Amino acid sequence: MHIMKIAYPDGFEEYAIAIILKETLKSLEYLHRQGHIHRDVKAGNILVDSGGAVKLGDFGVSACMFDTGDRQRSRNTFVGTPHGG
Amino acid sequence: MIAMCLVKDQTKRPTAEKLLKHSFFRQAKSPEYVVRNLLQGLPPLWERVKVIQLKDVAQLALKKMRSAEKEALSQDDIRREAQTMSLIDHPNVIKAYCSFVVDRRLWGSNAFYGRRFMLAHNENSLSRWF
Repeated sequence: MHIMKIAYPDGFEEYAIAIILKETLKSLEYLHRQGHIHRDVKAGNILVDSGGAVKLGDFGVSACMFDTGDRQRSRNTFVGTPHGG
Repeated sequence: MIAMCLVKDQTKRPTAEKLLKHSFFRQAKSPEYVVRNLLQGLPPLWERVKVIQLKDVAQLALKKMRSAEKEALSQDDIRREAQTMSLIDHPNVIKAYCSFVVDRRLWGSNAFYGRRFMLAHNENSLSRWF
């Protein structure tokens, strides 16, 4: 998100969006396969390193589908960032 | 593609796996494209951080207030986050190597940029620095 704010206030071009989103989806596909849900996917949590590698971060409100009790209930509650960041 | 993601009924919404097969992603090139076209010519990271900090002063103040008021996260929550991060392992996911608690502060290290991140916790507020 900071790269966008600093240099691309009108947003990225489609090629760049396709790459970044594709890499992000790969991480989600992996997390979901492991039973995790991230629950706060937004530009601010998608990091890009100097080699162009895309990483998803911030598991502060993530949940695990295999958890029980409190955590189980918490999946029906609202988490994330107000206004979607 | 975006419309598909916004379908309210989750049974009709594509999974991450399905969405990856969408034709939109056929134009996705290699990470080098991002380096060449997005990252080239950007000011160094510390300068970007400085500019953003100035821009976001008002927003940050608001966030701080909000976290002090109601986001009184427990140490357990932070520990859980660190634990989740140390369990997962994928090239597109931030990886945490270890975490420890000192003076009611939870420290961790991750692989991103070889930097350390710190999760600090005090009585009413939680702040993070990556």
